[in-house]
Amino acid sequence: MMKASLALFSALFAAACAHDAPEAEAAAPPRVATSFYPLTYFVETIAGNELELFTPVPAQADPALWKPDTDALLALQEVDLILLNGAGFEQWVSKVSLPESRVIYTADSFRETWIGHDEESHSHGGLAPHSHGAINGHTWVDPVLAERQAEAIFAALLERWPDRRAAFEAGLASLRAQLAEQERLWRDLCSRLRTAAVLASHPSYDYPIRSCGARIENFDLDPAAPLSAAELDEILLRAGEGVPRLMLWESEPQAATRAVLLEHGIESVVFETGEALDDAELAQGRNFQTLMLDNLKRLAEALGN
Amino acid sequence: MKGVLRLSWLHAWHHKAATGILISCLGLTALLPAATRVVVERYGEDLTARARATPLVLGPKGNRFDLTLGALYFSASSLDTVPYALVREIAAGGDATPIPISNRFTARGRPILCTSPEYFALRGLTARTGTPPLRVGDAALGARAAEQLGLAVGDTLPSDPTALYDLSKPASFGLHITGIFEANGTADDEAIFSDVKTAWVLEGIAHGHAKTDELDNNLIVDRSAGNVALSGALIEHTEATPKNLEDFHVHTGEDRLPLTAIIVLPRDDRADTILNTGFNLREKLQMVRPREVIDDLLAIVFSIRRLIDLISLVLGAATILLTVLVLMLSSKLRARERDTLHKIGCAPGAVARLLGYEILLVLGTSLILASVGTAAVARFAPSLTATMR
Repeated sequence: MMKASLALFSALFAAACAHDAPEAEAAAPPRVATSFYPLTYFVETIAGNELELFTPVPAQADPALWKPDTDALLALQEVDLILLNGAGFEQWVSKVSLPESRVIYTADSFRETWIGHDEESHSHGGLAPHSHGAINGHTWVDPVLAERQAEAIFAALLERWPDRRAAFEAGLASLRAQLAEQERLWRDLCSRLRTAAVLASHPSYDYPIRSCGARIENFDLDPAAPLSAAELDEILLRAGEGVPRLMLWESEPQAATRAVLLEHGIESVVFETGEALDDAELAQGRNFQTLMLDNLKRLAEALGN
Repeated sequence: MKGVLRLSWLHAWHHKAATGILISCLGLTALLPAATRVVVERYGEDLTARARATPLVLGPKGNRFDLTLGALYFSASSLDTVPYALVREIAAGGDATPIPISNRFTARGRPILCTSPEYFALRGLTARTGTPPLRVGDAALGARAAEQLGLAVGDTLPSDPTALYDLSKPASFGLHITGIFEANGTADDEAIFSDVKTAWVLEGIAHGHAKTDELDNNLIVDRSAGNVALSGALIEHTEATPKNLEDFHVHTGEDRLPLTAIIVLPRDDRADTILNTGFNLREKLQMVRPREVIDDLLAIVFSIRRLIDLISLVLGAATILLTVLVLMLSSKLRARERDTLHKIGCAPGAVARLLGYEILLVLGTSLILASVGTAAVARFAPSLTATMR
């Protein structure tokens, strides 16, 4: 009788273990979606391999203007957490259905410091004047704001997966150190930026330039397109008297554009925002931090530091 | 024995009308309380099951039954709205999952439930064909809604205009059917689902129109520094398409956008208590536990059922007395028949059995009819959800 009971117990135990084993194997890491590369880098640095990361935006697409297809939206509805920049950067978000309880707008914590575009508003039907998405969303370019976004990511991860606290804290410390290095380099440039005439081909640098107490003139120029005479006139009109005169570009402008601007005393500086880094660039060892340090090095050289 | 039974049957058959009336009276008397009990219990179970799956509902101060039934069964109510900021607030608190609910609009008389993907997970709704709503202007149908409206994926369903003759109110908006859900046997089967952002288009708070620099000059009333005043003749998009989706925009901060209710799924009992207490202290808000509200509602229903039971009891007693009277009179009328039976040699017990079988036949048939009737009511009674709106 005793032997029979033991045999039955052993069989049940073995069956239970056999049942548990696939479950343990099947425990996949939490899935987290990010809307563009800088956030991906922040999450990777904070969480390491603790999470499965997913960015629905193709590497070559502009994450601000990307339009999600059905597969991307279905995938976003399934993930455990969606990390967005916010501040109006991802224009597609207001047109799609997302599980709001799993969405974190990382720039929301400094909403009061957002910068608006000078965009024309309109009114109709007796309603108050309004415009369509007039917030500058390039918050991560400023390392101080980037750190606050990193903190928002850390808080969101910790709230959902508190058992991974140690890994997340170590990752956040590492990211803070990197952003502190960027901030130090910006601070070193601030005095020169305040006396320079800083122009931008696109309104991507408002936040760090404001942090420096400097001014910036924004244009809407395509680096891949030739500079028209009207655009050049407008640049010269608004360039101001500062020295040196710099035009910041998100990517390398055409050689002719660079030359024309230089003829008028305006040096072109490539300052990439890192919105989209493709696999080839990542394979070459480039990442958000190296990209920003390279940017700051070029800016420092242009400012004569 | 067989002969007596046959005689009873032939007598009842010969007097079809009288037997039929007797069976109907007794059958209906038994059917009424039985059917009431079955229907009330079924509705009670439906209500309780849905309420149990919905821990908390946040909404404006007012009638708590309206709030609960609106959030659970999409019934229309005259309650005020609450701002979308509360969804963000609850989500940011980390103690609960908020699910926005807006059900102020209809399409072909059916409620349009505008919500977020968490709702579909909560109710176990999966797409039988197509997808859940993914973009502004998309809609997915409950199983019965799709069947009764005769719509399929790819069709367009116009929303019902809120005020047909008031041009200041939003016109009908075309909803693109992107999917049909599997039936889950609840109110969801009857509804039309859309994203909460579509609700704001239906409200007229969000809309789409061509960019100001692409508009005809006749539509521009004034162009001053930084602002363009557009004519009231501007025709807004009446449906969202891949081409014009980018034109849709909201006229106010998202935090101020209206919701009819928010379903709140607390992380644990502690969060449940904290949220319930905290929100009920606010001046314009109330948080209810649907289970408690439905229990109160059912208590009223059950008290009515007790009254119906009492009335049925009195009715039953009266019917039985009348039946006894009918049988006594019938027995008197059949005195000559009994004499004849005695004269042809029937045992005295056989005559009594003959009458007994007749009574049993009537009673038995009445009970069978009452049972069949009760089963039919249980099977074909209108769905609780269909009668709610």
